[in-house]
Amino acid sequence: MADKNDRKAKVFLYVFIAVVLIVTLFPFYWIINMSLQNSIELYDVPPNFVPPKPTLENFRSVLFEERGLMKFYQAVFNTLIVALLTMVVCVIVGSITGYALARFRFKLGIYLLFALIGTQMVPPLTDLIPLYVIFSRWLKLIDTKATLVIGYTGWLLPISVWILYGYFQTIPKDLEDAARIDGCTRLRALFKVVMPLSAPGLAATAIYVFISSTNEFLFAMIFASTYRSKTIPVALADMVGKYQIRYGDMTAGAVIAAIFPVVLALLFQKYLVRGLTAGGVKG
Amino acid sequence: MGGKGLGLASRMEKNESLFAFFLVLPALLIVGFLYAYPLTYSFIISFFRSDIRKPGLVFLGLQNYIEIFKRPDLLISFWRTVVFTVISVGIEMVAGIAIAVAFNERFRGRAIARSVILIPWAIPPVVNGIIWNWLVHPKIGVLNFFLTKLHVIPRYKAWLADPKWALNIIIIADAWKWTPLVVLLVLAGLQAIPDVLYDAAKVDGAGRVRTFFTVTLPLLRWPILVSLILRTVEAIRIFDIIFIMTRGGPANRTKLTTFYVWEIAFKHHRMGFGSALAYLVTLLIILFVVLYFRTIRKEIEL
Repeated sequence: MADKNDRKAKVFLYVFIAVVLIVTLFPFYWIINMSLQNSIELYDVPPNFVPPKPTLENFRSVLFEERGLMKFYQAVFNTLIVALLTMVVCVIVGSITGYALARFRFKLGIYLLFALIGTQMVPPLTDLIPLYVIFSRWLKLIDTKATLVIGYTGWLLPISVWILYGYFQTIPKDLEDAARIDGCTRLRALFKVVMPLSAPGLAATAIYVFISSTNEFLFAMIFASTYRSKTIPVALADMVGKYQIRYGDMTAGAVIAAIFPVVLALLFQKYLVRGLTAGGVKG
Repeated sequence: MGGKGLGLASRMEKNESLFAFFLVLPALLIVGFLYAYPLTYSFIISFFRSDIRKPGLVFLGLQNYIEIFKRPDLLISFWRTVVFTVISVGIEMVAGIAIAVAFNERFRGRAIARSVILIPWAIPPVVNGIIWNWLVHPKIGVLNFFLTKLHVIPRYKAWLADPKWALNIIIIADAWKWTPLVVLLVLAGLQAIPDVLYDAAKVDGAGRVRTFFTVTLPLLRWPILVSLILRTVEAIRIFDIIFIMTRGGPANRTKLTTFYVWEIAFKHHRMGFGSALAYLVTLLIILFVVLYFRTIRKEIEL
């Protein structure tokens, strides 16, 4: 009796998991499938479930032909530069801040921790309106990659600190104490002993920041206006709702936009999951 | 020149707080420059008429806020934002917990399943919008193809142009992208539950369902609270996929409040009025978060 129930449960489990995986993967498969079809096949009814004659023509045309005064590969380039720089800044500042908050009990630190969490409750537009005034009127920093890096650092630093704060708490203090007894300065102990041990946490933060900044749209749309700083999501959004929509370009562009974050997430899945869930499990 | 630096370094060796202060200084400056100052600024201009094309501020008192409550379209957008948030976060939580429980069981290909579930989470929101635009496309959408094949609908339908359906489609797209995050957080919580507890429940003769509600769910309180807050905050400030999929249409049905904030501040250049509206959105977020904390704390006390 119990055996039969167990079998039933097992079958149910497998069916459920199959459905979940199909629903998860099908939309992503579909955009890849479309990106490999030419502009006539795209309109076929019924739709083609596999590309009849797979072609990379859409990728060539979207990357290298001029659209809206820019070429898409320039957006790819901008995105990578902005994401890399944001990642470097967030990991460096995030790690020293997270370390200080995890190790030392001081009033200012507690306020800072609360302030960092508080920033995440504010809708981005509340912050974007004044930032736009500051950047455009006072700093005259509009349409540069630097603007995006500064903005993304403000957005992603709090979560970087949060992830690393959680991580540093798992590293025993004895190790630094030992190093300091051996004559290391505090800073040296931090960089030579603590940081190497925190590599998984640093990796999680780096990947999270990189993915988030490649994917960001609203800030980039407001602050980037030309090929000098437009990122992939902005260039893609430009293609939507234009009079002459090139469906092939849009699907290929979407696939290119998804490639970096998806591949990174799959490659570094372990670190990412551990980093993201560190603060979410214990309570 | 080394004197002063050396002095600081050796003082830092002795004084822990000084060292800590030195370490958090960059973050403090960044938070100050990118949050404290701008948010104060936008709070202040929410009481002014601030039009970027017409320099100069005109003090309005509470007029911006009063205007919001006099505009039915904005009030409706608030209501729709709440509806959107409750439904999409609700779906994400229920589906996310169910999938996490399934993924916590032993089955073939579990490692792969746990990786690929991350794909929707990693996809840029703009791409998410484009993907779902294609799936529900009125002429070549595969959803139309399936549904007409199954005789659910008689002919191809322009889902996003239908005022009754547009927001639902956006909810589905949002749930597709964000359910994996809930799975991730809840799954990590499940893995932290010791097997002993399940064995005990088994000895007591509790069935699967009862064990889930009496043992598992209470222990998942914290991951559930974290996912609820993360998802609610994000859902209330949704912008990207609406911009890509409907631009607020049809007939303003999908124009949620953040979309209005963007339109008012950056298309009509009314920064003061936009700030006032943005602050009301912030208030809405705080309301939700406080509500969650109070409910969950009650649970803990029980």
